[in-house]
Parts: sequence; structure tokens; C-alpha cells
Amino acid sequence: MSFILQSHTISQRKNLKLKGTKTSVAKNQILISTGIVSLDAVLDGGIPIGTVTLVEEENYGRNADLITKHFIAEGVVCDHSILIADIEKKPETIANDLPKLIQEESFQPTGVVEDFKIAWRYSQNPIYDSKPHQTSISFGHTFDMSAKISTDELQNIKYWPNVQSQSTSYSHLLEFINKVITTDGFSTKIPVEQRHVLRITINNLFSPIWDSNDMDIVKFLYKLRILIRSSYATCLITTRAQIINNIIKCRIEHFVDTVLILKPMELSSCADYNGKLIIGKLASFNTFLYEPSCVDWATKLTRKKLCIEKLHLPPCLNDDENNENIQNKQLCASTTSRLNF
Amino acid sequence: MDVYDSIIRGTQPNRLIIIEDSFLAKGQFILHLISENRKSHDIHVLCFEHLVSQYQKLFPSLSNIHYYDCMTNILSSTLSMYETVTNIIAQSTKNVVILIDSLSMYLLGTDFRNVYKEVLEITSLEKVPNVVQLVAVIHEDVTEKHYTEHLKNICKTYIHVQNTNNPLVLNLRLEHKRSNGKCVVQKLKGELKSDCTFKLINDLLPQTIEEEKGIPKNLASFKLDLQENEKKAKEELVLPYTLVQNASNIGGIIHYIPDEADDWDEEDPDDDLEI
Repeated sequence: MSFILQSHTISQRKNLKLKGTKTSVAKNQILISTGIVSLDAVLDGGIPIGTVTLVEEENYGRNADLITKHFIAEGVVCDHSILIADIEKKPETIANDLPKLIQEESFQPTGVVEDFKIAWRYSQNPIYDSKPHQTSISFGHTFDMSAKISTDELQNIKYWPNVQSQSTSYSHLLEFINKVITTDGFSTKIPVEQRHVLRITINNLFSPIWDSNDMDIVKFLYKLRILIRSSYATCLITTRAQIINNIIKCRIEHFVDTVLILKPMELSSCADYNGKLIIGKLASFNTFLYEPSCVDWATKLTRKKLCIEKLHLPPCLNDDENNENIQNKQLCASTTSRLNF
Repeated sequence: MDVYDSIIRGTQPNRLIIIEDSFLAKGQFILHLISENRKSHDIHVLCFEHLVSQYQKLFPSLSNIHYYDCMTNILSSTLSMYETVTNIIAQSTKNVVILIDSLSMYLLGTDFRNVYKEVLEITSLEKVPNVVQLVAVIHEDVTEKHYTEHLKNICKTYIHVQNTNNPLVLNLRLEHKRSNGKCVVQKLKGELKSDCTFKLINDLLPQTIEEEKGIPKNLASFKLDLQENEKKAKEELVLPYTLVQNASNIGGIIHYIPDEADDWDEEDPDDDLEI
């Protein structure tokens, strides 16, 4: 999808810039932040407007839930309109549990570096940074999960299912999204000056409560894609990976633009991380090429913050067999050197 | 943390427990153990599997256990499980524990979508605040696998009862979701006694296998370990090269006072030497 901006001068274009968005010059796209700065970097800058992102969670973790909450909280901070759809929980409960915005001081490097006593030469070596590259502070905000956004700030939020529509079918949700996009002015057809950004979150896709009698999930995702493409909206969907069978999962993944898979960490030695992040698919537009990402990402969860880092294996310390081998080698080396002398 | 113990005793808040069993390895004894340990609650058993009189024999005879016959009127009654539960709540004043034996039987007559919704509603804090726990048994040989997967998603603890070669010995696999998002798996093996107690057999304890690694004696001609006071002395010792690194001590100055014979222009003072 490309946006036609040619008819405006540069100064006009600057005024037309939507709040909380960034224009990716390389891809000719408008991006919004996920609310997690390190996740933005992993997704090549942010989520493009007009796309659908799917987050698959495996084995009962709660990272997908946290990503959704950050996505909504970022929208609240940037004055975007928000639509929350959840059929298992009441959507209002999600809105009442959003992380709070904090100042970005935590990005400053923590000053005190301990002096090395013996290996002091190593103090000159650079500290390896496992954060993803191009983590920019200017775009996106930092949130603190231990505090909550006060409910007064939650204004532009719409909920589904609400009092008027209690039905839980895919077609009803689609109708509701369509109504919001057309009546509240998120369509690409309306004048540029009046444009706003809409963030849509759909939780627990493929839960048994969904009524798929009049529209099945694949058709729903295809129609949703058409709707989102022609509007200033971005959709984030979460689902549980283990409840979907493989054939349907492939179809679902085909119809969304970005796929993030969250897996639990199997290695007990990586206790720092709480899970793995696999990029199943990255939104690619204006190109036929598809560039897969080849880095393993891990999710790290503290009490206040969720962040994405490059996965590192910890150094192997207590490996007796290896140590013995090294000792043997050293013994051999010393005997030969003695002979040479 | 011992998951099994906390589930049986009910020491932690846990709104939904799913027990999956089969006809060879029945999981109803867990319901019995749970009902014994909830003295301060009202226990309501929804009986889908056997007649109420049979349950009264199987379960401990305590005054806080109530039985509801869902078996004989399952075909005629129009009352759903959720309605039955709301009726129960209306009557009781204490916190309520609901045991369902079994959900598979209820699923035979009801659409899974509705059952799932009812389970969600019964365990939601807003709609029925005084139901503190729902324990449901599912038979893996009756209910389809993907239904169980859906229910596993919403439950806090999932217990899989597996049979072994010995009919009295059962394997338990407990999957418990912690509040920090991690999932703990505990495997147990136990023998079912005739008085409905479950005696654990401790052959699966991995802690005992890991022996302590001490320093072997008579290995070297020098001492390998340090006593406490020796460690302390080692930490207090200031090594000479650490002094050099301290900024305040850097820069020893050479004091040299040139005398009259010194010639600063001389290129190499030693070139007259024959080396």
C-alpha cells in the first residue's frame, strides 16, 4: 500500500503528519509504534498502518496479553482511537489494566562500571549490547507495568461486544469495525486533514465462543484485510497456538501481514529470558522480495517492563569433561616444549 | 513449590482445575481428596456420572458436602449448568467449591461452545464472586482432544491421570500456571489405597540424584580449599599491582638534579663503549 502525498508541499506534509506515527522513507509507509521500543526495532521500525498483525502464544504464557496492553497504551498516549474486541474477558477489564507512561530515563546507561581488579585490560573492551539495533528513543514511549493508566485518560476507546451487540460471530465484529471506520472517519477516502489513526485489538481469536456459522475465520481475516487496507487502521490479533490445527493455522498466517510467535523457553540455562520470539512473517509491501529475519529473539520480563533482546547462550562453566580435555592438551604441550628446549 | 500439595489443600487461589482421566485410570479420587480439605467452604457436587446415593458412599460424610442429581434429569431438564450453579449460589452463604463429575457427560448433550462459555462465566470473578473453585473431570476417551485443549487454556491447573502396568499405581502429571506467566510441570507416581488415600511413591525425585560435589581429599600435594579466616585474610590482602591502578597513586616522579658534567646535547653517551 502506498500513500499519495505528492500533491502537497513539504511544509504541508509536515503539518499533515499524524500524531504518533513515523514515515518510513525506504518502504513508503506510515508506521506506528507497538508501545515496546525494542519490539518496534525487531519489526523494522514499527507496525505499518493498514496491516494486520497476528501474535501466536504457545503454552499459556502471558506475553501476548502484555503486547496487546502496550499496543493500546501507546494508542492512548498518542490520542489514537482504539477498538478492543475480546469475547472471553470483558473488554473493559483490559482497558482498566494498561501500563502507565514513564519518562525515558531508564534508557540512560547505568553509570557505575565496576573496576576490574585482575583482568583490568578488559575494561577497555566495549560492552556488548544485546538490544536490537536502531532502538530510537524519539519514536514510541516507555511504559511501566507496575502502575496503571488512570481511567480518566481512556476516552477514545470502543468495546466489542458491548451492550448493543451481544452476538459473538465473526460477521458481527466485521460489521462493527466497518461501521467504526466509515462513520468515525478512518477511511483513506476522506480528506487528508481529517485523518486519524485507529488501533484495533482482537483477543482470543479462534476461541470456541466465536460463532462461525455465517462466516468462518479465514473469510473473516480476508475481509478484515480488505477493510484495514483501505483505512487508517492497524489491527493486532492474539491467539493461542495450540488450539488451532495446522491447516487452519497456515491459512490464518497467510491472510495476516505480520506473524509473531511467542514460545516458552525450553533451556533451563536461559533463566534470564521468559520466552522466545520468532518472526513468522514480516509485513512486506511495495516489493516482491521477502526478507526473513535470521536472528533469534528472546523476551525478557521484569516486574515493570517487557523487552525483546537477542538470544544469547550463557557461558558454559561447569563442564568437567571439557576441562579435563583442556588439561590433557596442556600437559602434552608442556612435555613437547620441554623436549624442544 | 509443591503443586500437588497446594491443590489438594487449597492453599492458593485457584479458580479452575481440570482433571483428565480415562476408564483405566480414574481421577475421581482427586475430587475426594479435595473435598476432604475444604472444611470452611460449601462443597457442591454436580453428579452426572453416577446416582447420588453412590456418591454419598464414595465421598467423605461431611456436613458441608451437597449433591445435585444431574444424571436422571439430564435428558428432561432444561436447566443449564450455569443456571444450576446460580441456584446453588443463591442458597448458600459461604464461599462455594463446585465439583463436576464429569464434564464429558454434560458435553454429550450440550454444544461445546455453550459449555465453554458457561465454564468461563462460572469462573469469572464479576458474575459469581463467591464461587472460589471449580474442579471438573474430563474423560479423554469420551471427549475430543481439541475440546480438552480449549479447556486447558482457561484453567489454572491441569491434572492428567495416567495408568501404569499396575492397576493400583497411577501417574499424575500436573501443569500449573503461575501468576508470573510461567508454567510448572510436576510428575508424580502414587498408589491408590482402598480408603481413597493416594500414597505417593518417591521414585521420581530428581533432587536426590544430584549429589554434593565436595573437594576430594589427598588429591594434590597442596591445600585446595580455604578456611573462613583464610578467605577473610585473602580478601584483605592488598596486591601491589592493584595499587598501581589507583588513580591517586599513579605517577611516581623521578627527581634528578643535573650536575655540571651533564651534557644534554650529546647524542649517544655510550657510543664510545665497545659492546
